Amino acid sequence: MTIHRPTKIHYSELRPSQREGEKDVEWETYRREVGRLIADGHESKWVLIKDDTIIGVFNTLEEVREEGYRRYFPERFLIHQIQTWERVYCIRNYC
Amino acid sequence: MPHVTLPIDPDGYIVEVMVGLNGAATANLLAAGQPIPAPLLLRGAIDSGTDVTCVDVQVLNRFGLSPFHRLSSTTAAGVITASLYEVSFSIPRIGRLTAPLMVLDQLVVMELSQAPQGIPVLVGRDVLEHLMMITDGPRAEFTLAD
Repeated sequence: MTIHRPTKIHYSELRPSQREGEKDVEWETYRREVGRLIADGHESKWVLIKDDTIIGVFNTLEEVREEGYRRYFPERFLIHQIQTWERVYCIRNYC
Repeated sequence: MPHVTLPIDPDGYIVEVMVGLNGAATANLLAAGQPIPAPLLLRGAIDSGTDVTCVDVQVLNRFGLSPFHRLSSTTAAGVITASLYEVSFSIPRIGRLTAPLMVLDQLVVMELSQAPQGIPVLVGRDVLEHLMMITDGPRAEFTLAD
């Protein structure tokens, strides 16, 4: 029997975060805004989000990471690469 | 070539690993005059079927880290969104090693909300990409080399 395991997921199908006991505001903001970010030509760039605000879009992971740590550490923030199709990762016991 | 040979445990390919704050977080705390949480020595299971190294969320919480990234992962229930953290990760001096086998001052790891019993770390292919690993089944041992 062949088990179908998705290797990519379209941005419109991204799931809510599973974190217990707290709403993942930044991730929900990304899910809400990703379509617009792609339409605006930001595919493959990196976005920095704090609460429900998009702080900026950056060309590289290094740039967005440095800015996130500089502004917000140790508070929570989100950095994410803007992609139409995202890779789905495999973890033991789940695949 | 630095290397260490370890027995294959009933739980699998078990190796001690050290998990701590990542370099950027450590620098920020130092600059603020805040105490630095000591890294933790943990039992890790090498799992070549895991793309991303995973750490028990209770361990991550001890460092006061917040997730800064998300990824999609397959589960028995379908695709979920999981949280990622950035930590330092090393395989410390064990066996006949005279120095740590590997040190990564920043490694992105996925939180494990339900880690296997007694195994808080799943060492994935992202770490194995830095090492050579040889399995000797008849002798029930494996070797890791830098």
